[in-house]
Amino acid sequence: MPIAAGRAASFSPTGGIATSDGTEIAAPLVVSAIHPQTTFLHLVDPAESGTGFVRSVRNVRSFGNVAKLDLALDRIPSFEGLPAEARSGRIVLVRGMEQVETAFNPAKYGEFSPDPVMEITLPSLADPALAPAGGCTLSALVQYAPYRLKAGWETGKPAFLRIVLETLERHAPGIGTSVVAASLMTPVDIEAEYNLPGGHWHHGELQADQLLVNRPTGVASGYTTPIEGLYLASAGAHPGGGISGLPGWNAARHILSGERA
Amino acid sequence: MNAMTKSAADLRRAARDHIRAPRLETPFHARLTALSEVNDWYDWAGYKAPHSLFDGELEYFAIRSTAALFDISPMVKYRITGPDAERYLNRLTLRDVRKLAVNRVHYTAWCDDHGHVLDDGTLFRLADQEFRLCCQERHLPWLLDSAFGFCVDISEETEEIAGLALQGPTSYAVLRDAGFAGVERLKPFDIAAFPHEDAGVTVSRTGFTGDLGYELFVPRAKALSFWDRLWAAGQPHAIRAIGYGALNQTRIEAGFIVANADFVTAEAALRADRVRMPDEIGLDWLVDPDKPNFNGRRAILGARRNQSLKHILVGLEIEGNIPAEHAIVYHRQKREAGLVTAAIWSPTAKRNIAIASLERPYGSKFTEDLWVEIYAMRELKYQKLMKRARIVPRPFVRLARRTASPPGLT
Repeated sequence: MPIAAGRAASFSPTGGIATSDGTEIAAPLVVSAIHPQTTFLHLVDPAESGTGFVRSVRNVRSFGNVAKLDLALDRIPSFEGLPAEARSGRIVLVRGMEQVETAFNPAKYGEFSPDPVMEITLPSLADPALAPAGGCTLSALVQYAPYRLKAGWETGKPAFLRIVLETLERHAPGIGTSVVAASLMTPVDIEAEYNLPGGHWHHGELQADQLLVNRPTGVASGYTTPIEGLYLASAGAHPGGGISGLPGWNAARHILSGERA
Repeated sequence: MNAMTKSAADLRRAARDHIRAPRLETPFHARLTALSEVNDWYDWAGYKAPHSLFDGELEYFAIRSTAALFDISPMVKYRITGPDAERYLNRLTLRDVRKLAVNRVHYTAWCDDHGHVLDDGTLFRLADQEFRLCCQERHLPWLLDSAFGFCVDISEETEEIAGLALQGPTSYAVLRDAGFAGVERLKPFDIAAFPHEDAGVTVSRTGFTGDLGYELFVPRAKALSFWDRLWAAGQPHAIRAIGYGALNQTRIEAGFIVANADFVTAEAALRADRVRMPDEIGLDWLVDPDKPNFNGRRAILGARRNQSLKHILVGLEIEGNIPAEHAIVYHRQKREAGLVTAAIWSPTAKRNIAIASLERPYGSKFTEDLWVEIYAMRELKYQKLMKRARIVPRPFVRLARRTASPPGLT
């Protein structure tokens, strides 16, 4: 049940959730696989939390720095130096660690990388239903694209897309002429599309102060939260994103064990 | 020039100029300094405030026998307004703000998420959606952080609002003769507004002395003319301006605690064991478990359930007449049990009284055989006294005139 625009009435033990269309679902236990900031700042009435907890949740660093590229191609692209059978794997366009480091530098100053690093898959090779016969889909994570772009993403996005396509062209000559449709999602687009604060696909940066017993914050770690009956299970909980399913798995085990903290 | 014509840099520069006046003067400073015979000043929250103006003992008896005027302008004051003001304050503070009627004041306290007391103070409900919070320490960042999710406006008004406490048995007579008709209708903790020149004065029947008394707030620009109005009317009623020394004696008699004197506030405490829950400083009666969620609720109720409270605040009566300030409290003269945080010989109770913080189970389970060790400095030599102490209820002094309505004239 989508509760995107809703506000949970209360997460008291006798609570549950209220959806945006006014439906109320009573439940003794609510598991939120939604971003911790959305959970505690919007779905739970902040009055139900302590000031210190709300402050710590608001200060979780969750500004995305990765853009998502989707291309529809009229043929399967060829990458220079890459055997055809390797195209079904993960293709990383990077010259080395040095480039990752320098590609990040502009992001510190609110600019996107002019020489981005890309992580590419061709999903239709594994699932032909994704593209018409002969065609191909390309999906790529592009780094770095800061959420707070100084110039603003309205003008920044076309410029960044051009750079991304030029980068692809260098490694897969002719790919530009095979593009049927292109979509680039910046962190701002990801935020709007998935109601994900900051457009961070990991629901919060994976850094030492936001890992393990500090994920998403100390008080809400271990899947239990200060709100009785409310548990966390999203990438914002340990061990974080990456589509491992582990936060949900751990949350379920924790809840079933009956432990409180 | 105003904010519209000044550049951001100019505004920042102007705001930085506070360093040029490291000790501020209150709006009443001109009157206080003219009355000061002993030049005995101290620092109250960055303001120059009198510890004594002419004679501590006579100032004390002005509070208890006639009328005393005490400048409370340095007290930190916040204005909290908006449609969510009540709900916001109910989450912030311990007592149920829904029960605080318009034109009423209540004493309250507020805690962090761990249930440790950040401060205590008085909350004035000036209108349905308009409150004033008065306290000892500054809390603007905490108040602003607490506002997330609430529709409220919060501003500090310490500098704009001048405050006076008028306390003592003739304080009502002073106000009556100063022309505040109807002030006799104020019961304890009531608020009323009166005109003063082209501005207003907010009068509440509140105070820190345990006596008949009022607190009065006026805009800064009206401070001196307001003082003069009270001062002139007060002459036949033996009004005296007083300093903190005298006030402190009466507040100990009344059993009131002072933040960062009788307990360390959670944001000021550097050492992990110095913080205190409401139940550890005698404020358990403020905690309302039946109201909606408030800061510290889980921790406070958890500590009660698990009986993990470590300290307790008690009133002591000590044999002899030497004040036991900062004396160590012992059980059976041997085992250290706590510390006296405030102590005086009470001229009104004629008892040697003290407020002490004890480590449980002393004060909770073991309430007998308590002693205090007083180090009385006598010409560069400590005279060590081991005196018997008895736990007694607070207030130490209970005056019928404090609550008499209508108030008496003498």
